Amino acid sequence: MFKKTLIDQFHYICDTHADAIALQSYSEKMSYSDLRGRVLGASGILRRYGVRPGDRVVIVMDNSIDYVVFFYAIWEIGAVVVPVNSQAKIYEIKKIINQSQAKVLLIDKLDEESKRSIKESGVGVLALDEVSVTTMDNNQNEIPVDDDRFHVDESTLAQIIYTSGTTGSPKGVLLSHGNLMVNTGDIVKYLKLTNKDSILNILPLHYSYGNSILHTHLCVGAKVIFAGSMAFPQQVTNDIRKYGASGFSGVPSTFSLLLTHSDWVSNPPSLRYITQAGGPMSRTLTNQLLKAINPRTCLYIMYGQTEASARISWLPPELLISKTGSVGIALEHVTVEIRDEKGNSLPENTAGELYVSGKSIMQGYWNNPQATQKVLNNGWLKTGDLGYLDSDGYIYLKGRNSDMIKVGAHRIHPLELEEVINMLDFISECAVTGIDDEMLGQKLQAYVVGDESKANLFALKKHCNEYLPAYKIPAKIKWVEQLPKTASGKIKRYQLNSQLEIMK
Amino acid sequence: MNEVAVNTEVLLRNYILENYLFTDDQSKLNNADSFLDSGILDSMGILELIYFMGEELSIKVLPEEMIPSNLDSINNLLAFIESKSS
Repeated sequence: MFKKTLIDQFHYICDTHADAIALQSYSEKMSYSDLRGRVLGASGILRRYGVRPGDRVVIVMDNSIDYVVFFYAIWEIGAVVVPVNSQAKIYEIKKIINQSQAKVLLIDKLDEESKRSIKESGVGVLALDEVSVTTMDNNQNEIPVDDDRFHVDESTLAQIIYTSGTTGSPKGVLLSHGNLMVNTGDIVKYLKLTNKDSILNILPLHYSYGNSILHTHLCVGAKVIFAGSMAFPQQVTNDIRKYGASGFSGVPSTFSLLLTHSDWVSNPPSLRYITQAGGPMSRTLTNQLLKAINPRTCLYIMYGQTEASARISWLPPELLISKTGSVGIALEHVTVEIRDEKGNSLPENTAGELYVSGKSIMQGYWNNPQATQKVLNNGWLKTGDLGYLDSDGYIYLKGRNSDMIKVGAHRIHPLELEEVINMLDFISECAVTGIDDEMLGQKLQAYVVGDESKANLFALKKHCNEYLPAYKIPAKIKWVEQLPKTASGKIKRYQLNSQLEIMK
Repeated sequence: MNEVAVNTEVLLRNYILENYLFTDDQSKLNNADSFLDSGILDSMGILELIYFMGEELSIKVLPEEMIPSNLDSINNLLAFIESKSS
């Protein structure tokens, strides 16, 4: 039985598992009691920066112990965590600071000019390369654990997670403490997580998948290990063995890389559980992974959305063969329905759009009632995913009803890139699509209309690099004479790849 | 450094500068810069680099050699290539 919120649960675990190791990195090991000390110290620092209950704090940090310290410190104050991809360029960071009306930006490091311009807009900047986090322990006595604490409840806003938006601007998914606690509890139950578990986490914490890995493990007193990077798959495999991790989570490309660029096949690590989410994994890859893993390792296929706190469904490992291709059954506190275009409920084995409801469904999008109205109705979330339920209620996905492109673990809307490319004078218009990629699922391809030259191609890439993180830079850029359009002048996105290849 | 090593260095530097930093300004890349820490390459970038080394330098990188000390900077690459050739 859990407490009502993750921050209350965190304190409960710190009381009951004080000496257990909560977090580990290459350079540091931290017990729950030390972690709480750091969290309280960091909350003192944030308070001095003016952070109060309800304030938004944008964090742009790589996976690290400090990330977790500040994350829980923000909750300790009753403020709201707004995590942003640590690869984001200042252009995107500023957008989110403005959109979320943030009080403080917490960032690993930042150049002086950007710092100045953000401060001028009235936002506090806390760059961690300037603040000694280790000295924060000295401040822990300043803030009593219970007396002065703002008590959050289930309805308090906990987090705003930005996802790629259809208007070119990202949408902030509002998750309450209740949303996160309910979803976390459901995940803990089906993964059978206990304080004996330890997970080696390589997934970015700013995404809902990484976010849920962190909370599901901390809320049972388990250990989270930050080590390795998928740039070096063999090192990840070595680290799983070195730290004796019991769990590991990835997106399809993670497993594809581990199977082809490390010794998983010849020498599978002895894990208790592996989880896969972040986009559909092909049957071929699922079978390859099943063959490669240790027979005692349970593979959990899962499906979810940021708008649903993280998880919507899970496939019990023993059903991997009999329900092959399914992303599983709804979580305990989630209800799934398939509906037609008019919103009417459809019977089993009939394809339509997935709608989900339950306590883990988001509160809406931050300051965006129009976008909220489009997807939330009477407590039901319109997921944009297409599929059907079998006679046992298991979900089978059949694609997405949107232009969203999924590159590895990243969800990218073409408008985000098109907006950046269209800033250039020598481009008259452009369109970005996803093309199939064996490793990543999809890759970005930009079709551009404009003055074709080698110099302009170079300038275009350089421009993208200035405004966008590496994963958002188109892998392929093609100059075309025109883009296929509807009678009303709208780009026929779904026809882009096929039509433009023929036109060439 | 012998002539082959100098050519390899130029080849690798130009590959990174042109394909990931989109510039020909040599000052934008230090040989000691970590590709990952400085955000120059991500996991796909490392794989592309390995492919490039196979194509241009006939260097085959084995899974167990895919570690930062071999691949995560120009200096590490040069030392790794040197050790492979000797």
